Amino acid sequence: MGRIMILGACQFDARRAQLKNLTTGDEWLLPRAELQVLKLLLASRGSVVAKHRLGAADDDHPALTDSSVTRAVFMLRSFLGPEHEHLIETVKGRGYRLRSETRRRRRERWLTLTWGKPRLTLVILLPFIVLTAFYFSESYTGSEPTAPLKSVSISLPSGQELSLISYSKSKTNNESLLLLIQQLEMGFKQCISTSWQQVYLSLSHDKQIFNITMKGEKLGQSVIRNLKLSDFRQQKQFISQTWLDEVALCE
Amino acid sequence: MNRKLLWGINGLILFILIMSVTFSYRQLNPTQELMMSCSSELFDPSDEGESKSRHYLLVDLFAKGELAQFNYRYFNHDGSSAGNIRMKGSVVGVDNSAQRYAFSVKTKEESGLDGDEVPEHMRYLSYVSSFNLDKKGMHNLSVEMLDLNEQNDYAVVLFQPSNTVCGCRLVQ
Repeated sequence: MGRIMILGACQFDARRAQLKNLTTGDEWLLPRAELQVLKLLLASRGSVVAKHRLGAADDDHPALTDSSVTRAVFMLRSFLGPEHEHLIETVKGRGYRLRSETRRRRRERWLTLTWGKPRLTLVILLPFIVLTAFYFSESYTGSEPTAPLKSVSISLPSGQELSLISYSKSKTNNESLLLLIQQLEMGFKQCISTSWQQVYLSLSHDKQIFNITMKGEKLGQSVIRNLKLSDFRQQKQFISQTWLDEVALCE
Repeated sequence: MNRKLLWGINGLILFILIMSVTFSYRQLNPTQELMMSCSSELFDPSDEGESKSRHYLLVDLFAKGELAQFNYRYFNHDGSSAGNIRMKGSVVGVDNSAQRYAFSVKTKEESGLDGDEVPEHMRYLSYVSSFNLDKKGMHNLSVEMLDLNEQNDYAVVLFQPSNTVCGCRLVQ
């Protein structure tokens, strides 16, 4: 029997003859009867121990009476508390039995399972663990490129085609972004022609910043223009006619 | 020989093999280098409809090996500095199929936040990054290439989790 045992929510220190409730922190220095009964029950865990055996005399102490044993069991159950008192089971006419399923036993069984025979399992699993770690740390390959939420094509009076491509983290709750796309579409439709060919749009996840990236060509050179509008007001108005005039989208 | 021992030896050999492949892969395919510069016009719309202030933002992204650095430089309309946020961290992953880089920012330095006319974007970035750094000790973000044109040295990228599209110049 080990020096420290776990019994329900209590820890039994055999050397110090102490039972400690790990939940409440209460400590109980066990009197002789309780200590003897508990030690014998632990030593024969899972088996029925007769009352006379629990109360048997040893080299230093006389035998306990049946009522002392009964009282000791009562006291032990009381200390274990209502949730764990059933660990000490009364087997009518035969004695008492300490249920075998203590935390220590479960831990011992788990240790046996993981470190006994299946040490081999661990060796086999190790490469897979390493592979998994490698997979997540070095490259999280396999994910798809982000697909646009919406792609709108606009024909300008000059015959020029312009694409508005929007991105969102979610496929739902995009009313604000869809409204902004419409407003910007109206803005571009005021242009006869423009240098821009693709316009990328996104609204920040908290709908506070509207991002516009315009890509096109000017004098045979690729050009890019980024516009970022921050609006932290309750009633947001990212786009207005004044702003459209200010940024001169048609140029 | 004991059957279990044989299995153990097999497992060990397999483990060493995988470790060697992993090491070789890391040596032969180091994390790609990424250097980008993204300039933006910032607008803070006012109640009158026109922008109450206008600033410029220059973001320099530099990632090499496992090191990553983001330098956000804000400028006033007249070209004077309006503030800086410099973030340092590491590259935590590269998804080649999606052309996506994942970063974890660990530290940042800020200046200009106590000025008279701080760009709203800077205030916002400072708040979000501080929130993440204070709460989780890191500010994670990813950059995905939506439209990459190496011939003309530009890319349209998507920053997450902020969901920000931005056109950037690739620095070779």
